[in-house]
Amino acid sequence: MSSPGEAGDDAEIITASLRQPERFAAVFDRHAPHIHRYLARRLGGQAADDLMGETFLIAFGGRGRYDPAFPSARPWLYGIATNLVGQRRREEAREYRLRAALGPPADQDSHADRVAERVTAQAMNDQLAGALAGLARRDRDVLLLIAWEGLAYEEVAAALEIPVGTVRSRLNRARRKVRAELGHAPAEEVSNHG
Amino acid sequence: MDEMQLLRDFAGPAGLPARDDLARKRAELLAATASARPRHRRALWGGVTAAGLAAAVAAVVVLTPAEDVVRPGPLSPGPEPEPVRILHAAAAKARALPDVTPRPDQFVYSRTRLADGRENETWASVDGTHDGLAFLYGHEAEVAGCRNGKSVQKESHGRTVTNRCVPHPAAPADLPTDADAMLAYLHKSTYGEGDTLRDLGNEVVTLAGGYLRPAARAALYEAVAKVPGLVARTDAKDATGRPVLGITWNSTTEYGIGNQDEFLFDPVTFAYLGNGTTGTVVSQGIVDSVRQRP
Repeated sequence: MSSPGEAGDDAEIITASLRQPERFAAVFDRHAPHIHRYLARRLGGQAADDLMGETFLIAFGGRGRYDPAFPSARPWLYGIATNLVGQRRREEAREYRLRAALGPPADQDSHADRVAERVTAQAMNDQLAGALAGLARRDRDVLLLIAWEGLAYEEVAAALEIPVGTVRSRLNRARRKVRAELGHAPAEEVSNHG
Repeated sequence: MDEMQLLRDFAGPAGLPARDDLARKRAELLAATASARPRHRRALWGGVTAAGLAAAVAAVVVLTPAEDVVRPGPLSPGPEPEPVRILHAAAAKARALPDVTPRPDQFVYSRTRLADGRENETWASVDGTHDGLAFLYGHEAEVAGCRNGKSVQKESHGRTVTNRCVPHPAAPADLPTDADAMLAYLHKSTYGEGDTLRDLGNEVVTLAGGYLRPAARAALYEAVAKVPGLVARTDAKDATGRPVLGITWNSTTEYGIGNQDEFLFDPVTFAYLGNGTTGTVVSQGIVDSVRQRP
């Protein structure tokens, strides 16, 4: 590993960036799209631009503390982004309400016989929006990092700096609460009418 | 009912943003790497420091001392450890530097040279409220000033992004002029990010990299001299490979990555040259507007 190039893992690049700060741009290139999408999913596009920049600037400033035992920086970055989301609970709740109100992403074919499906989905989304907003922040973070970003338990643990066991218990609690909310959804009545 | 699947369907955007959409933020990140100052919930890097002096001085002031004006002096022999002697020599030289105070609406200009010969330029608002400018790696980037707690960064297509901020004056007002008070100031001004040597080093680099009034700059070097565990490297090199004197503190981070805070001084003039991770400051001045050069 005499001269780690852009082919090196994140830990190598971050270490190199201690002496050559501009090398850190490679970390951005590798992970910014995912971080941006994650932030947009939680807060909407406008805030995502803002916070994505903030995430990488914070990461850059803290790069001296990055643990080189982790070859991928993505969990670390998710952790920083998640902390920033945590400061914007009202915006997050509003984003989910908006998404529920606008309906699921317009799918190409909307035949009449799918109308019932879409009505069901919309009612369900209202419930989901409420359920998500009602979760404790820490439970919501774990739930969405797993459901939306596909992180493994160990990655969530690294991102949020909590033990894996805590990841599991928060996930279970979050899922129970979401299920309970959806269980009371009027959507069930709609589907009964076929 | 699979609530996880329902959640996934509710996620919103599935596509990843394109490279072009992220280019602006990438440029901002590069701008920050160029000044290599950490950012912890602060407003966008304000970078350079300047002071605000009294009377109508010349509108444009050159600050980098001319070679023939500053005469080199040897390190005074003495029982003090070498890093302390270097810092005290640098403080003595600092007191001979120009003492000016720019107007709040002026800008501190800096040009730094990187290892490959490229140069970056920045114009930083003296009082932090005026919009500055930077040419970094060939990109032009505006540095939004902070007014009434808000900064408005211009984006493409006429879009703007508003951020909450506190002004980053190109110089904090009323910096201490004695070493003990300066040391106390450094400990306090880490924005609550912590009191480790690393945080202190960041503060020193932030201040030292810009314009300071001579008494404050001298106090800064003398404050650093009081920090235990200093190490001097006489075989250090700056970004262009020139031999310089390096002062560092003897600390490593939690993860053993090692210390990146090194303060470089010219071995002859004891001028401060930067911190080893940025380019070497080759020119500095006070100017009336962005794009103007001293």
